Amino acid sequence: MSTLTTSEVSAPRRKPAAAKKVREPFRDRVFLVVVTIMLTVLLALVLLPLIYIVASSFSSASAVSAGRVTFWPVEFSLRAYEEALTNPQLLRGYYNSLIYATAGTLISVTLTVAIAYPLSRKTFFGRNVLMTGLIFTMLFSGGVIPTYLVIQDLGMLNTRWALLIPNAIGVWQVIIARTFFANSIPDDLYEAAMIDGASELRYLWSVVLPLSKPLLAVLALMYAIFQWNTYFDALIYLKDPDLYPLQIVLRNMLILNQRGVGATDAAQLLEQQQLANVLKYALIVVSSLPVLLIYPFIARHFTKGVMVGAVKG
Amino acid sequence: MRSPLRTTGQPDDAPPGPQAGTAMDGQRPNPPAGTTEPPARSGGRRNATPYRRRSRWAEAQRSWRRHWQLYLLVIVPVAYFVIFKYIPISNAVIAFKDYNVIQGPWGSDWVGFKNFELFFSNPVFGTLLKNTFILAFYLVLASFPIPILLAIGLNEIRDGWFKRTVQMVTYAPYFISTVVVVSMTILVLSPRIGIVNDGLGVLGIPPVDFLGDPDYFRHIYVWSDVWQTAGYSAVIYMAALAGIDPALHEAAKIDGASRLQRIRNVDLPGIMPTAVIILVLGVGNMMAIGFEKAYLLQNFLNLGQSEIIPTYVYKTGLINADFSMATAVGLFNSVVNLCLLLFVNFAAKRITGKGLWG
Amino acid sequence: MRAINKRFTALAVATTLALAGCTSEKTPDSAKPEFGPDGKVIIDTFAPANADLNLDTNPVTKLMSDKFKIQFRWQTTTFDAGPAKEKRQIALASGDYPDLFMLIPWVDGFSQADVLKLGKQGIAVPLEGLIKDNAPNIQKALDTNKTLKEMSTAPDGHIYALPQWSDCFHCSYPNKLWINSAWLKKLNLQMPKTTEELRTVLRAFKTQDPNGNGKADEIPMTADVQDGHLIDYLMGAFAYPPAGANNGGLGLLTLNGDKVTTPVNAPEWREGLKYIRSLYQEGLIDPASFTQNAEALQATGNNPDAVMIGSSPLLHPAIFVNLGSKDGRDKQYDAAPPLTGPSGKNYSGLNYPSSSTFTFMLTNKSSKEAQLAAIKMLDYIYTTEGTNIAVMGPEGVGWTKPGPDDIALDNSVQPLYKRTPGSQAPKNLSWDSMAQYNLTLAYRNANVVPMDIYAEAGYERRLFQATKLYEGHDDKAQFFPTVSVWTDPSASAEIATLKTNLDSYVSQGELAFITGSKNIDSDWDAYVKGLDGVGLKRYLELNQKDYDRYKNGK
Repeated sequence: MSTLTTSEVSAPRRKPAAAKKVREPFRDRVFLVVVTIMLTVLLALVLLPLIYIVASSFSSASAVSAGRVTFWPVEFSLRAYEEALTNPQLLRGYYNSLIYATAGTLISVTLTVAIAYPLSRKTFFGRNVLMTGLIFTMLFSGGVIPTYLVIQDLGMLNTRWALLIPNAIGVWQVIIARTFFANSIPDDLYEAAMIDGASELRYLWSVVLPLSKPLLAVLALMYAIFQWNTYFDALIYLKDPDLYPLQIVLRNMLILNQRGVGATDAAQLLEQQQLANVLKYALIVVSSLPVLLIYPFIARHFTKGVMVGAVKG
Repeated sequence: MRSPLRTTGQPDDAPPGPQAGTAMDGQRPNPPAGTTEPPARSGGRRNATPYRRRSRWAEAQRSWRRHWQLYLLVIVPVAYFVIFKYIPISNAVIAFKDYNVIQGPWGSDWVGFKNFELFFSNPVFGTLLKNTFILAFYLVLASFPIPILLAIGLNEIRDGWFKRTVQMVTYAPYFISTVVVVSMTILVLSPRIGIVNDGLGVLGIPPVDFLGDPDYFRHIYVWSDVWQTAGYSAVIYMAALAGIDPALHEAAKIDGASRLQRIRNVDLPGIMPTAVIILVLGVGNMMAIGFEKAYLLQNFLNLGQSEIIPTYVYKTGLINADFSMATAVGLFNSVVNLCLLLFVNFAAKRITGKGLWG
Repeated sequence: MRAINKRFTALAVATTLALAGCTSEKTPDSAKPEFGPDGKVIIDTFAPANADLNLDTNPVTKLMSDKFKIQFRWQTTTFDAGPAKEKRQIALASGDYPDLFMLIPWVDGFSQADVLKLGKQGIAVPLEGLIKDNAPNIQKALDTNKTLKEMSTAPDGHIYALPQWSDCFHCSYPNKLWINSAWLKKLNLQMPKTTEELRTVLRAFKTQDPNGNGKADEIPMTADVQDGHLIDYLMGAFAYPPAGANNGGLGLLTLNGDKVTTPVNAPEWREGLKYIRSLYQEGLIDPASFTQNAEALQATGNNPDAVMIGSSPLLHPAIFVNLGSKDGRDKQYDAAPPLTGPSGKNYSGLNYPSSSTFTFMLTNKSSKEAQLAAIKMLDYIYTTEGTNIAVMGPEGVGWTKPGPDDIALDNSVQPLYKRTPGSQAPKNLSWDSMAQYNLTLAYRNANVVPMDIYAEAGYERRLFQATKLYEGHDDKAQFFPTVSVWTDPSASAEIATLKTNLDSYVSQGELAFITGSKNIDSDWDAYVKGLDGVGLKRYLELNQKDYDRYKNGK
């Protein structure tokens, strides 16, 4: 092989290729090195501030407010974590957020696929109208109060449903999904399935979805993170503190420490003000750790070769 | 096997050929329950002559017969949109009214366009619009290429701890709250204790007051935002890249394409639809830029460029708790967004053949 | 398919109509009293609660519940100001509002505009009758405190909501300059009293290396964006600087007799800006004062290598230096008096009262019984005993009676209570900020505080004594009584826009003159003219109308 190549590809010092394997040409290896360097630079740029955050979270309050922390904890102290993790509401918050994240993701991904897949079929009559309808809702919104009224009338206030349903489908996600379905699933498969006598839903379930693992992974990730970060909606729709998700508990903690007890107890106010500086870093770690940990599981689905063997001949 | 150098995923357009239709019609197990009347054109389209002008009704009927399960599937999501999006919109006539709580949305006095007049005749309106526009546009443009480059770069290197580390680390900043990001940014750029100025000092350059110079505001805003979101945005592109048929890559390799060429001819076209969508959506949501970050980065020295519509509305809203004004501004933003969206979509469709409506 | 289509459309339409119908009939329930199992009247109460506070189990809740036969049904929101405000507004807009609001002013409270709107719509229940008949303590507070009465009473004579009265002495004079007196001593200088003395001191700080490390790293004066009162403090030597409402934002209004005017375009103001500009030009004012945040300021102040801050004009020194620092640097800072300018003026801005939003409101959903119980409860809070318990907690736990050696903050009065330090008291002890309705100056000054002003525990006294230097330097004749003057609701949108624009224009302009990007000699006239372009005349006009109404209403 390879003698077919044009001059662009072959580098002067390329070894004669073995019969089967295509050796990585020198040019490509250089390219890889360049890419790796760039990625390393990017990694450093992003990593350094993150290290600062983690290091600060393990430092003493006075060290942080004196600006002495750079990339390693100064005056190692677990005070901030102690403050955060011993809060009785925290566990409840974690638990609630887990529920919202899992249930919400399931509901959202299901509904998103339910509307994105039909939209991706070219012969689905009304898809343009439907799409327009969806995009319209992305641009124009009723606003907080009218939406609140609807939720109130449906009796969802102060229930978990208020966080799971009103934001169940994101138009952005629908469009991403639709684009994926339309472009990454070859129509040959559809034809083949129809010939075999499959129904639309069967095709969706048995052929499309298994091939859409990257998409489903992305959707799941986006919705899970969305639920995990929920703050404002939870605040507005929930009254019972037992239903509060994590972010509310964490933000509450932070504000409490920033504000202090009022000017009658100045000494305590000051101690708390300093703690607030460290606390906010500890809270970032506490709240984002779970989301970071699920990432590898999701990223597994981004490997190439999802489509191998899909189209046979 | 399609040639690797052709763009992938080229779906066939509009009505499928007669053969396919015939085959399916003959084999459909159960006729849909709702149809009582036979379609205008009979289902037995055995002749090969394609009708160029099918009536829309026929098309609709055809689609229904073929995809009736999908129509059913779509009911629940559509209901969701009607209930949670369209009904609130219809309630949101507040923008045109002087809102009165007891009378509710339908009863409040009709005040007409008062809120809009107040907004447009504001002497600072022009500056606000300009600042918002430039900032948002800059943000969309700057945040566009980097996630793509990151995804492609990650796609090239071999799986291993390095790849996973880069993925995880770059995606982490997304979870840091805006408040903390801004406070860290201010610390880093501080004239005296910030490391950026320390670095400049090493190079012999006197300290720059980044935060006090209005011209720097946009750069600070945008690049700290890119720092925060690039890794997360790259995830979508990585999924798209994973959806590209690896046989295309194999074929390209066999043809002797270098990595760079493979990227140019396989990867990029493969994620092009996604990229176009993201760009169009980004521009179409421009005016919805949040107020918090700009508000935190503002000070009286850079206010000339850092005062944007949402921060302004927030400030006036603090003094005067008036929903109607905020809603009117929101409506204005939405209209501008719509125009931008249509324009960019049109341009994208022209240039790349792909648009939001597929 | 047609049939299905039709059915679907019908369903959609029906839903829309139903929901529309529901919302338009959102009239509040007739105010029937609801009683709990033990005969206590149930009151739905909206209140902020933070992570440590559980209002259901709070001892003060129990006490109030037993004493006034109230069963509280709490609807809580967090301490996060933005969302708390939205939640309150949504509650009102959706018709889903409670019987009673008990808010915390520095989290979120009703503004004048809110109160007037709700009063007009009939949602806020007028309180003056209830107070007169059932709440002697509240009535007494209103009768003896003119400002409180003016603040609470709307132009139509009704009291729709009550504000908190928390008279923080040191907060009333926020424009203080804290100077490093250790450095003064080292350089043999006196505490500066005039503008020129300050200049000398700052110069000396900059050039004579008072921290003794051989480097010219001293910063004569610095501040941060959120807390700095730089312009306000220095301007006091030239003209009276009106304090912004709620210790934030610019104050723009002063009085000249009965005429509402602004000082920011006057010649004296220009002189003041010139003076500040001259300090800035000499490098005596840190440019970072206008851009850095509190953390950067703290990092500078607590820099372990050396003490760097010479002076800082803000509310209290703990903002820029850690109390209890190992090297004792927090003890080095003392307050400078208001400076006397070349024309002999030495003003200090007055921020009075400390908070101006409304926090107690009964709505038309509350029954007569609920209203009576609630007002009687509030009345109890207005007594000294009530305040002690509601704010600090049960006696013996949250506070104790003072011992024989304890001295009050104002050491000329008899001490009344000693609060248990927060680190020693259990959490969720009291209603705290929610109950600070009658913290008069007398009450606050009767707090027991240790005598050592440089100890952390004695910090309150340090601030108290520092404020004594400023007391009386305000100008009652020029002071515009913002809280007593009610804004006409029909103009409130316009005033809000004007104020935002003016604040922005003035602040930017002043900083431009100070930093030199605008020339104070040649560009001043254009600046003054530009004020009218931004609506100054109209702003003054609207405020004049409101002020006249206030004066005549008396």
